[in-house]
Amino acid sequence: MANTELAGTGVVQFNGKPEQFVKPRRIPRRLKIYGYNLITLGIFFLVWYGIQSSTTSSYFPTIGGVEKAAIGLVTKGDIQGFSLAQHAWASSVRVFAGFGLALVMGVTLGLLMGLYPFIYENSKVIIEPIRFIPPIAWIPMSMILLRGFARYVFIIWVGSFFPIFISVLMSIPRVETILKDSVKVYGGSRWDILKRIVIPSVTPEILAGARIGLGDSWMCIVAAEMIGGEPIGAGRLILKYADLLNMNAVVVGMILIGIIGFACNEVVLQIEKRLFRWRSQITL
Amino acid sequence: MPVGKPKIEIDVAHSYDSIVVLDHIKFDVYENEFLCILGPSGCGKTTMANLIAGLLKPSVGTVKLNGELVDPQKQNISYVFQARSCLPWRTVKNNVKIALEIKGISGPVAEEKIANVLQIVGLQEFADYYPNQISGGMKQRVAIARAFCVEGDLLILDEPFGSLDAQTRYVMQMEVLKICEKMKRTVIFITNNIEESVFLADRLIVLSGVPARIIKEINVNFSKPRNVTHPDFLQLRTSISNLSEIAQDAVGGSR
Repeated sequence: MANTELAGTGVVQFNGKPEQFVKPRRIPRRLKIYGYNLITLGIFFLVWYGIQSSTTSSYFPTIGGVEKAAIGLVTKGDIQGFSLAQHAWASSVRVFAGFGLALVMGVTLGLLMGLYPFIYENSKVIIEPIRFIPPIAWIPMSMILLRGFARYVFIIWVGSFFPIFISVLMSIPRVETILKDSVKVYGGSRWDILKRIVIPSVTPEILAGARIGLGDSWMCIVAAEMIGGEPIGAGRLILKYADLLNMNAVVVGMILIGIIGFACNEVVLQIEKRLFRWRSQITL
Repeated sequence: MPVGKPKIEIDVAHSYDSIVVLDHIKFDVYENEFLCILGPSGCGKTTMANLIAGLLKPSVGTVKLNGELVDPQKQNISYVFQARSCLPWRTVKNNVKIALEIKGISGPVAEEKIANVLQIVGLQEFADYYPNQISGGMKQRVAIARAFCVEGDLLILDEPFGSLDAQTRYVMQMEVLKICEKMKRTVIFITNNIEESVFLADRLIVLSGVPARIIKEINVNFSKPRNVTHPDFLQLRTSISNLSEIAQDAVGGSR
């Protein structure tokens, strides 16, 4: 049938060209989201401005003050001459070392204890209490026992290991029996089941755990740099200016950590999106 | 009753903890036979399928295939599961392929087998789709394709068409018959649908509700494909549904 409407019936035919029924979007969704986020940012600054004009505290960080502090830190560096970029880089290296170690160990131990639950069951009495000790509580111990780079790595590791470990551990019992059976029935070995069913099934949880762990690593950076001793790092920057009661520069350090963390999270999200195309497809 | 040495000898009883699911169940299956196991839902049919496939160890007794204890690592068993057994991270084609990968079949031989079975189940155009892009019935056809692409000693189908609409179900039943005719398979087909069982079976084993016992064994001698409106067909169908234990369950059952 050539025409799009069957005569008299009112039934519309697709005519092999479904696009004729899809209204083109005038503004792409992605651009719209960016636009709305800009508006949100504007509101945030308005509220900030409102508070700064009504407060009587002379230490309260002002928009103009933070901006000036940021420019100063970028161009001239801090009181000891370290630039913002140097601080950012130093912290990133520490976070990735601690997080990387936590990722490798969390995935390995999570898989091992998930596959052999008796290991976890019989060491629960140690694992679970350790899980609830906050990273900051480890600071005195690591000051006494560790030196240099190991201190940063340890504190960040403590903060990010458990979210990764627990999410991998908990995802293994949720792997569907029927999928395992469908490999087993064709003669698949334990290794086949692990490789072809268990690992692909838990990869989304591994990445979700990694994303949470990465966030937690950034949350530990100030604690880690409190004891690291070196005068460089985003957390150190905050502490340095906190001592001087310069809140404008402190806020610059806070924003720096926030932005790097946000960027890292977006990167992992993009990896997830690529890797798990099969998850987000529309249903026919 | 077929003659000769049985291909599969089943002699089992099974319980989960204290709940007896299968009372003493004993029957044989012969080479190239199409055996239907008919029973009400929840009577332990899937348990039985898992026992026969060697996925589950019986509490008491043994399942023997070709005279040896059944073992999926040593024998070639194909199994179409009742529930969705598609791997969501693999495309339709690669979902079929997994059975061949495990058997160590690859290259052009595998490609040809896959193309062939996808053609049979009518999914050749969906080879590169992911399971969540296709319908429930299509997913079940993927599972069937997977089972058929492995040349096996035994093919088990556990309510394979339960989720299909009536038309697709009929088409798939015809296909299964055709494929079995062509490929000469020993088939155990599990269903709770009386008409389906009478349509497909060479021999029919009727189970009671839980704990399952064999209440009747029927040889179905009409030639295939069967006419579902033929008086003999209808008479057999009625006589099965009149078996008291089946009739009782049909009232409270899901179908």
